[in-house]
Amino acid sequence: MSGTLFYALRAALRDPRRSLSVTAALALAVGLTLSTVLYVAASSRSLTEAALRPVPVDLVAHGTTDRMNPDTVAADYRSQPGVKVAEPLVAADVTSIARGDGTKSTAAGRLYATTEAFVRDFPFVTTIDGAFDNKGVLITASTASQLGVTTGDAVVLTSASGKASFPVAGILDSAAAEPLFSSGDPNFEGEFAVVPDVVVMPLALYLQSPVALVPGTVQGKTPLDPQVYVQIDRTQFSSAPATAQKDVRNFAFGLERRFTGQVKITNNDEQALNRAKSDVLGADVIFIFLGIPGVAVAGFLAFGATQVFHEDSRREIALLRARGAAPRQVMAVAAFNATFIGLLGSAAGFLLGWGVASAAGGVGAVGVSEVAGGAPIALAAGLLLTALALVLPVVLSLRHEITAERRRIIRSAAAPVWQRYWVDILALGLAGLFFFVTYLTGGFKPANAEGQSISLAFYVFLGPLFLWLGLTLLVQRLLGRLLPRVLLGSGRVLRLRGFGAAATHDLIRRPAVATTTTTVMALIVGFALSVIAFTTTYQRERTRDSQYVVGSDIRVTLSSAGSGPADAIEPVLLQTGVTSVSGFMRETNALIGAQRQTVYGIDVPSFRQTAFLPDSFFANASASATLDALANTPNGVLVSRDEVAKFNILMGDSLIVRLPVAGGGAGYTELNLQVVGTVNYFPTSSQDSDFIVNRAAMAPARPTLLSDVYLLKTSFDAGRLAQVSDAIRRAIPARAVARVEDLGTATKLDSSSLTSLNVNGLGAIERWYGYAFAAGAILIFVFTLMAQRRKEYSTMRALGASLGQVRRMLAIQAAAVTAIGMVVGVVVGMVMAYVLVKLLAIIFIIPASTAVFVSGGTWLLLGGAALGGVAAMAVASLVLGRSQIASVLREE
Amino acid sequence: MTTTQELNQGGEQFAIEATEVSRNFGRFQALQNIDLAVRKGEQVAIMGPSGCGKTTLLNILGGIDRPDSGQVRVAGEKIVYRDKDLTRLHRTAVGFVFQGYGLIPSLTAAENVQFTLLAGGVDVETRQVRALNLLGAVGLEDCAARYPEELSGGQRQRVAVARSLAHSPAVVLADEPTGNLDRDTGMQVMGVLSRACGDRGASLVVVTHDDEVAALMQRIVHMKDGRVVVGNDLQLAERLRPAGRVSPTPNRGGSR
Repeated sequence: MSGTLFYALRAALRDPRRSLSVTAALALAVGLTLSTVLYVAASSRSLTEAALRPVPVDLVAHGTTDRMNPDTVAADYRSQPGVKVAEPLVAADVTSIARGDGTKSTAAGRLYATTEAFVRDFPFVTTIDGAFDNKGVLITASTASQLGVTTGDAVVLTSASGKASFPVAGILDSAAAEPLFSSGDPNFEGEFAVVPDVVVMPLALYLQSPVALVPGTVQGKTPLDPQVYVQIDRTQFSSAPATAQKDVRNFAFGLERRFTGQVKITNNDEQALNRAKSDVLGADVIFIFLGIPGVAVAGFLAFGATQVFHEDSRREIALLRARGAAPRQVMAVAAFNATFIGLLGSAAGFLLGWGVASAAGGVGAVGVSEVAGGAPIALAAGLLLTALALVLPVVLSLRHEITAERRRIIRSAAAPVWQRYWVDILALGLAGLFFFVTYLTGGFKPANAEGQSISLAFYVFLGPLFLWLGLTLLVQRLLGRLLPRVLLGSGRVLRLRGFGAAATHDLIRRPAVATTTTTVMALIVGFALSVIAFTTTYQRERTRDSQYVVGSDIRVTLSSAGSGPADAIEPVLLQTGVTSVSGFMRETNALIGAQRQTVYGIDVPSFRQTAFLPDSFFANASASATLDALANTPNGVLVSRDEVAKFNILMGDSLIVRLPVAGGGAGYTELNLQVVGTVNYFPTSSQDSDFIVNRAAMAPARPTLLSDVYLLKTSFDAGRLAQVSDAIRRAIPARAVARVEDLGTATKLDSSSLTSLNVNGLGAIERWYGYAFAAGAILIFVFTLMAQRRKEYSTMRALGASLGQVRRMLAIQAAAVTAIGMVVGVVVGMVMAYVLVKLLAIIFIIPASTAVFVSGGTWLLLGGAALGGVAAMAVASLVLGRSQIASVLREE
Repeated sequence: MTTTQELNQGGEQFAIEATEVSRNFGRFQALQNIDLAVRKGEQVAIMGPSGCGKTTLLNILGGIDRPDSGQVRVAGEKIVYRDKDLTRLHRTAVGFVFQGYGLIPSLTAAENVQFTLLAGGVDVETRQVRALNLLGAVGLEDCAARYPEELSGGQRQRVAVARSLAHSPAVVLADEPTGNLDRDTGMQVMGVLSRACGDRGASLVVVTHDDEVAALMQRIVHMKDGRVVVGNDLQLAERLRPAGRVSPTPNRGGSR
């Protein structure tokens, strides 16, 4: 045994070129596997974090009676391990809020009393003017506007218990406070919504004031609602969303049990973690379909690398057998040799995979636990690939007699089993079947499975898997049959004569190496191209989603609470980088029939220039035609698809819209509009842009045509938009209240969805491995040819072929294989990319209809592959030039 | 002993003239100051124990290996070790026959025969006519379209013989041409080779271990430890040649 081991080790070290080549290919395969696995694990963790990030309050303990003392409960919760923050809040009704002088008042409103710690630790109470303090109250912008008060003035609050005057300490930022008012809903929509009359004040001040309601004495729905807001230490929970969800539930039950019957806890993490669970599943789907083909290609490449030395191996086996080694001993040598190389390749792949996954970024550092979990996978993948690539050929070779080993059989063997039984066509048929079933059941959308957590049906995975398998095998079948014809045809078209014709003829007579290499090349290009197309499309869709939400690159929304003149805003918007501005009016209280709707009044020419308006947003698939129709019809209106369905509206129908008269007066102005188009989506809002009219049409209801919202288009990329936004914020006149949003902020707001996935990170991993594979495939082809034909090339030179002629022959063959492989790869890549892009349907607001096939990455891949070919040829030329004809010819 | 210089002074023309040729592989002296001349049309066998430098000498004579010192002339021209000059040498003056046939598996027998002509840019019609003639000369007219894998060992070596003569070289160098063949086939191939060279006036240098093969040659050069020990003196070689040895190719041309 030790002799066998010694021989195997010597065999590995005796031919370092062979050992290193196979080790390098294995390292690439193992590296890609491990990179993908580590990246998926780290991304899943980041998804959980991302899902919980926008949830400002994990748990809210609501008093089941108004007698619950929030201070006591908060103090108890604070003492519990795992609780980071627990602060009391009392919500109570007020019957009115009035100016200090009593000249103006509002209808009934809501009062929130809390502590300074609450204001500090939770992001709800922020001000656009003034600050929360112990002596005064904060009021909303609309209340301030309605009462005509500002910071420093006084307001009088009236409740069922009494009334009292308080100084106005500041103006509340209603948008930030909105989740507080709609407790239990952790979502931010990012809209600058107008909140009804609300007052926020210190809890101590409230309890001492006559306004404070006495528990047990008031009637009504929830006139007094004591609550405790709890922020828990999320690091104590699992990073897996499903486990974290259980942990949070148990934690919430534990807190609830401490005041049984007095509190009921709302778990705000529940919904976010539910979403994270489906996101993790979606991420796994994406990773699976991006990663698995790559791993398969890598394995194929590792196998290809061993084929470079196939002849050497065969000769060695024949020699061992001829010298009396039993098949068992030959197998043992092969097994030891494979184990040695497999361990070496696995170790190298492990380091490569770890390094690449960490360098890919976007998921944070790859943790020790993930690496520890990945090590067995790397080892298993390495040994499996080694067994397939190194041991299997030996087993197959041992089937032949020694004499057969010594004879070179060039004619291709009988077709493999999968070809005889049409496994490729069968796989494609199954792929079609699963796609059809998936289509019938609503596409690649997560669905609830029998009331359990959100999951994807298993057949959703099978469609792309069978497609990949079928395509891989079909490509090999077709290339095996068509390659000779393609080569002959190409030779005729290119009018190859002499050595050129001999080169193509030579490839035709060696179908095995040409077909295998072309297939590997095609699959590599196909794999890399599909990944590039997917990640590029993903990035485009992510930007489009943000553009859809924002409306353009930047959106500036004005509030009526501001005391600055609105017309002073417009000039300051034109900061460096801004190429166009379009302002529009927005009326959120328009009436259509008896329903309140939002109506937009746009200036078509500037809107067309500035807003994000893809054709897919419009029912007639033409942004230009739809906007032309609106511009050409002064009383035209575009209606959203949902409203068209709801009101059964047809093109050309009349539509009466009532707009409230501006200035706070009573009554409505009636607009008689004509429907000129239908919109599927409309920029600036995902929810309420249902009716769009010409701005001039809104004039009867408005004293001026000043805009409420401005869209800005810039010449900057997304990374530099923040600079423009900051410049605008700084330049906005004092006292004017405006919200400035850009693509960056919109993306962050949406970060709880799958869009927060750094698919680009995984895409980059796969893409760079793809480049390495492409270069490796060409190198392997060239060196396979050279290894197989060293003697032939030397013979050719001894027979009068110049070094240049031999080099040209090799170059023509490499070019043919590369070109055919790339063409087939582009087709395979486009098919796979189409499937991958269809997966995007589960992620984005606007389903991706087309994949982005042409991008910088595509050219980099194709150019890189071509460059790899040139580099391989250059190296081959050097090797050819240095080879000693005599010594090569003397080799056995 | 008659040296090449002396023979040259006598105005004799040689297909090959090697003068003080030495070749080392590391510390191993494969060839030591070899002088060897082969007359035009002469057929010479090089014999000797394994490792004595026979193949090294043959390779140097054919320009596919370079001596560390000394020089070689083929058909009167000194070998210049530049790719361009070596290519020209192989396209015009030297033909090779290898022990392992050296046929290109992706080319038919006829295409293999044409290979040197193809490399030299000879037009396709000329190539084809010459290839068919040569295949006819070696008895393989019917095998022109067959690939090497479809030929027996003897047939492959006959194709190699035809190929070595396609460009009408001054000298054919054969390294163990019968090494992979059985005795009868080997002798047949040698007969064909010897006759074909003789018919075309090409000199033939054969490296062999086989006494019977060597006996077919006009002169036998024995080597040992990188030196020529017997056979470099042409007159001596003539004298040493055993009387009554019958050539298996009695009708061959060429002078003795």
